[in-house]
Amino acid sequence: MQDNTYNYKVVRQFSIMAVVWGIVGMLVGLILAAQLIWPELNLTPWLSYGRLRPLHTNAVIFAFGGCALFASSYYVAQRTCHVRLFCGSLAAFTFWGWQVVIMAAAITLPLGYTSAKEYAELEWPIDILITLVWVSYAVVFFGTLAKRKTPHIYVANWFFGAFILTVAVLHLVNSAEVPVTFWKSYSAYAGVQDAMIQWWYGHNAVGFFLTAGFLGMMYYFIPKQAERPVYSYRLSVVHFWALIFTYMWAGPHHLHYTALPDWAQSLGMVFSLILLAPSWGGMINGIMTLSGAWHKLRTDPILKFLVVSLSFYGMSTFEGPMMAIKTVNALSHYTDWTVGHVHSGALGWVGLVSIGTLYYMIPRVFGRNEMHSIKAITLHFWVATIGIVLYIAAMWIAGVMQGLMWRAVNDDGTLTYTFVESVKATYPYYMIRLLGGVLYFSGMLIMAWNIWKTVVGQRPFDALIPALHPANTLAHA
Amino acid sequence: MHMNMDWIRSAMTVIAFLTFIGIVWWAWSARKQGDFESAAQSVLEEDDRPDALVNVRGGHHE
Repeated sequence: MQDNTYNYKVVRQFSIMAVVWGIVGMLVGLILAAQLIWPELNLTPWLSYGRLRPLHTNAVIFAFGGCALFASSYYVAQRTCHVRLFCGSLAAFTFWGWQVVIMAAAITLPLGYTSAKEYAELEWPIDILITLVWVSYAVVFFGTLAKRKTPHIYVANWFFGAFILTVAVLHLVNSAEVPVTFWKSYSAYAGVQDAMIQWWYGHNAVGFFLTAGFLGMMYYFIPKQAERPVYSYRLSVVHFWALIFTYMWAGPHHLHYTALPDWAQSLGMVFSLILLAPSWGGMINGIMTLSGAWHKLRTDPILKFLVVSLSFYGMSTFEGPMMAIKTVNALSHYTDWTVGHVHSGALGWVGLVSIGTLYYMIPRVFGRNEMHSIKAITLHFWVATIGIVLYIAAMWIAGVMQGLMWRAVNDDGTLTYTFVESVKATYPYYMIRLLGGVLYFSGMLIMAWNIWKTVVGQRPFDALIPALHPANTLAHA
Repeated sequence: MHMNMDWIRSAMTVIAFLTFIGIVWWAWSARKQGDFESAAQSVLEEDDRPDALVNVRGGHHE
């Protein structure tokens, strides 16, 4: 391989697969939303709600989000370090290995093979492959930082690095399991310890997979697209470390009013409330990067995607700490409010920032300056945003209504409503949610068409590594 | 003093807190200001559009 060019091949591969898996994962989400309205759509055991639900979450988080993170972290690390990606063959292994993990998930989950840990359902042979891919990812990423030509490690790489390291630790600890057969294992932990480790994993998957990694995207692609430096580099350093120190302790808020000791629940609540500060530090830093360039928002749909993603990030990181307060959680937990909260973060923050990033990166790694149709990006933006608003508003109303119905008691102490009455009352909101999902999914189809028109007929392109600006050479440092 | 697990846990909390205060102090020190400014600018100094001068000069298609 040439040392004077960037490795765009692996970026191209991961970028395209991010779009493909996004469409697949969101289609499964639509099927699930429809099954909640029309249960007769549970046609076979393989396509039943209980088996498709983990397929949906795995596909959108780890296949769509994961491929977008691999692609953007490889692009950003190379461009900010001014070197070709470390060990191209290992980078290729991370691509093919990750695709095998995704395919294995798509086959085993509908067959009913699961370790029954939420967001970590995959059975032990797949867990081992994930470990191999992830260690290779760390070697490629940190190897690239180690051979950098620039004096400073740009802040986006700090976030990507924290995401890679932490996910490795989370996966290794939470997936510790005792294999019984090739496709069945039991957790190494038992009882409430198992639950606590699961949600230490679960919430840090939110904090490091779904937050730190995508903040890495934000810190590179917003300045690039807005052509403005980060609003406050100091704030980026401080809120980075504040996130690292705080996120680790927030997991117990998933176990309010359970067998988990009360002090641990309260500790989780307090740390979740503290998390508001570093989360909003990142949001403010990203949005304020546009100061002096606000007019660009009117005409630039990619910037719209990136900046509105931060608004949803701010909204869901305000909502999250509120829901972690025990008395609020008493109302919200186990209702569709939780589902609305997750999708405000997933569709709004993770989805929109990834889509904006892909629209920025894909033409560049295929040798073009911009996407085939800017108008189609604008259309995608509005369809997706309206879809998210419909989805989360419907789930808020449904969730609060369910919470109130479940806790209502008559004067004689009996329950006012049966459970099925709350299900019946939820139907209209399930319809609105499905409509929101259809809109968001349609946006992805518009994106697929636009990307096809952008890349078809393009020859593979690897940009030359530019000479360093004299002020930024190692000699100067 | 009796060393036990609770004592170690409390000490870890205090150490973590002091470390964070140290990071804030370091980030706001005048010495770092220039470095941070040039780091923030560095991503804007390179043009990553495929028709940028650096790419037009070289044979870049595989």
